[in-house]
Amino acid sequence: MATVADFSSLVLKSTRHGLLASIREDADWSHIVVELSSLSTCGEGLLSETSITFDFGWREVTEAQFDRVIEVLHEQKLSCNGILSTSLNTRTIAEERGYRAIIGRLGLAKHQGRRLRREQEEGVSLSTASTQDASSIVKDRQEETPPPEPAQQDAEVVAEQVVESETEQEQERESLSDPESFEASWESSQEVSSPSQEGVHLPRFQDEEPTLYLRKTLRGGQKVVFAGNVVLIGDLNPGAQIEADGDIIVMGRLRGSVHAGAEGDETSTVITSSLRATQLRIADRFWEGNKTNSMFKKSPLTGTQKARLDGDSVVVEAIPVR
Amino acid sequence: MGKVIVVTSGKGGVGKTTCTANIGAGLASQGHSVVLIDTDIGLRNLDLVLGLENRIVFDLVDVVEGKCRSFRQAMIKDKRFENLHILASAQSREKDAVKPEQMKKLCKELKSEFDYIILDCPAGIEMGFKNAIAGADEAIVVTNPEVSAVRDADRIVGLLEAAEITDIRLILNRVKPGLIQRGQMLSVSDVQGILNIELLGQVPEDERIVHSSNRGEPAILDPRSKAGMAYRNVVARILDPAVPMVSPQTSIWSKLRRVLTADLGAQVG
Repeated sequence: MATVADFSSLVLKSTRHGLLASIREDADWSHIVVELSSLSTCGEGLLSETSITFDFGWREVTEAQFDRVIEVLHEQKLSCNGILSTSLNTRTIAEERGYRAIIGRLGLAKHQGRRLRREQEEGVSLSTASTQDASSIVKDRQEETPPPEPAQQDAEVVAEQVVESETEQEQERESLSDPESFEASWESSQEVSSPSQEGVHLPRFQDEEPTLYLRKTLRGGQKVVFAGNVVLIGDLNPGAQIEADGDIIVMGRLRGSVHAGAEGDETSTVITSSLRATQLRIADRFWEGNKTNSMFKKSPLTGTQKARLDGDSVVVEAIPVR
Repeated sequence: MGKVIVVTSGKGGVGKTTCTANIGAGLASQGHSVVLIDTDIGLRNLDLVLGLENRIVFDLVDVVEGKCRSFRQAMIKDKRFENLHILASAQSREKDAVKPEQMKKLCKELKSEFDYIILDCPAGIEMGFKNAIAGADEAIVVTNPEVSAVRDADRIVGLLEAAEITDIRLILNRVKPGLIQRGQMLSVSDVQGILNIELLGQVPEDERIVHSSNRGEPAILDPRSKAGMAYRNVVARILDPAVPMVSPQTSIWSKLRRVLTADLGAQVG
């Protein structure tokens, strides 16, 4: 996935399945319309006669607003491919107008949006100051640094958020395991970029992270790349790969290659019921305990194993079964 | 209505052409009309191992390009087997000379005329492979009990499943029972642990195969060939899946050794 354009209220990315516009939930609607009107100037004016998928997240879009979006797109000879939304009303509105609507939220421009939602719930009104802060932060992707303040707030209110974000996560999981959802497709070399910035470690909140749940055996040559945790119920044959930003759990024979914490998160773990990986990596470290050819020699490790990073090396310990 | 079977492997040199030739000959000798197609464009060898290369005038590329009237003009009938025909590949062209849609169309036409259409797939996963599987209903994956062959076969099975070919069976070729016994070669269960597809047959390593290829006589005709015997078993199992599979026999010495050690064990224990 590559960022085509980074506006203050929306981010335009190009994915394998087409263009995706992620609309920030806390952005002002008129602001969004203005930026949508200049979509065709992106990508050096090459953006025309294409169709774009819109990720509205949990924003409630009214009928008038939706129609306005379509109108603005039409003026630029663009069209809407479908929408992603966790709001039932928004999805209904889209479907009534004949657009595909998937339950979900990738929220690739999400950080400030989450704070807004919390503020809204706590009855704190949106101040223009905070949107300005937000937009000044979401400028250039390379220059981005996470604002330390929201992170602290995250920690304080995470308990109250648990129930709400679980549903959100479930919804995300639903959309991500829905075979129609373009981000769930795991066919070889499908890539989903991580929302975290490069080289910066954001605190991870496991209950808020998307998780991909697969129930099949991955054969050699098949690769899963996911910005979150991956759970595989089935074998990972030699030659198959899983690359996850979060944890990896394989209930089956892990004989392929796995990379947890692919974006640099050193707290990631790999748990499997049968560890015979040809390659196991956590963040930027390699597991050194598997020099033999996994297909042929029998692994001395029996039982469920958990691999994690301890300092500079990957340690593997058995998980006792009571 | 005929069946189109593609014989593929991923890895080269595991025995696809040998299997295609022998299975085709075997099915024909049981009274079924068979056409073998060599889809390895540029590196043709199916006609060679059957000893028919001196009669090839038109080839597969000529058929799809329309240079000959029809496939009937290009097909060669084998003189030893009443019902065996072969459509050879082109020696001087490349894999892009044929497209998957053309193969699909050809297979469809052949299905109404023959009981079995067997396609000898080239090694690899590129255009040649895509051409060969385009018109196929079933697949036979050939592999050796060797790590890189099995890895490649696994990839191939994944690609076949993605192409919605669900009837995939395995032939384990060039098996050396002695090595397996000594734990130096992958066993059937090791291989199945990765591939997990229905096992059609096991064919032992046999020096007589070289002999067969040299003379252009499929091993199935050679009474001294152990591989030939195994191929006959494979053909029987294709026609009737209830036929039991014959495992490659270990040498008389290892059998003797097993008997002796068993006896000793009994005495001591």
